[in-house]
Amino acid sequence: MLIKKSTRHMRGPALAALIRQVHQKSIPAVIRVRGGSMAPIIRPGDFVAITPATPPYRFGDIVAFLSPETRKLVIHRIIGRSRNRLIIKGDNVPDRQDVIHFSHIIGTVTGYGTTPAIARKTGPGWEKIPVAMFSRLKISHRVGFLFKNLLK
Amino acid sequence: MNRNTVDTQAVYAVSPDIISREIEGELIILPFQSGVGNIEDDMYTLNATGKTVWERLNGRDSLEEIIASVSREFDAPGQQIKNDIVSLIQTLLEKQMIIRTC
Repeated sequence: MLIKKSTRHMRGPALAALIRQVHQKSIPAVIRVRGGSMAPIIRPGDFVAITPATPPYRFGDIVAFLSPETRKLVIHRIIGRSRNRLIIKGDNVPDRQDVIHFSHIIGTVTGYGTTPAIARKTGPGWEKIPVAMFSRLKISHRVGFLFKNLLK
Repeated sequence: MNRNTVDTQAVYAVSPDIISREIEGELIILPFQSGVGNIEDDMYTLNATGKTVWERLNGRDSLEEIIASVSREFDAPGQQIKNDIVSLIQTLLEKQMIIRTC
């Protein structure tokens, strides 16, 4: 076989570069989430649709960025802002937040779900602001299941 | 003739609706006709022969010319190479990764 489906697990800078290349065609990129830092709203194994993003970035938005420390692609929520930097936190990570520059943002998550098709249709809605507020209070990991049930 | 039928006299070119990228020596191709770049499920990769054929889909050379040049380059039995390349082109047409230009 001269051609086959690729089994390469894209990650880090290579994944970020491929997502940017997709965005140059003005279409969203769909990837699979592997970590649990945004659970239960976005669970490991869920698909997310990432669209090109430009400022203004809004409180509660979920963004994909390349961590300057770990060089991994991370998907977390905006819980604050300081000049041209954003305060980013995982819904399920009560004790850690990151401050990143706008330039590290790859895109905005506009959809998520258990299949790529659902990820194209179902996106963050009314819940993003209350979840971000709970995240700032470091209790979003305790109340996330409520939102997940309400969003069903 | 079905547009996905391979014609060795035809000329084919890479579709504008794909993204390709070389990663650690591997050519990755991502079609996005569905309006989304599904990096998880829709990535394809070519082996060395496939990559050689892909690079020659320039919209000028006929498939027959490509088969002949690849056969010479890889010094492989002509019929085997032809079968493999026709199969490749068939798949590329079905996935809309290439287009027929004439």
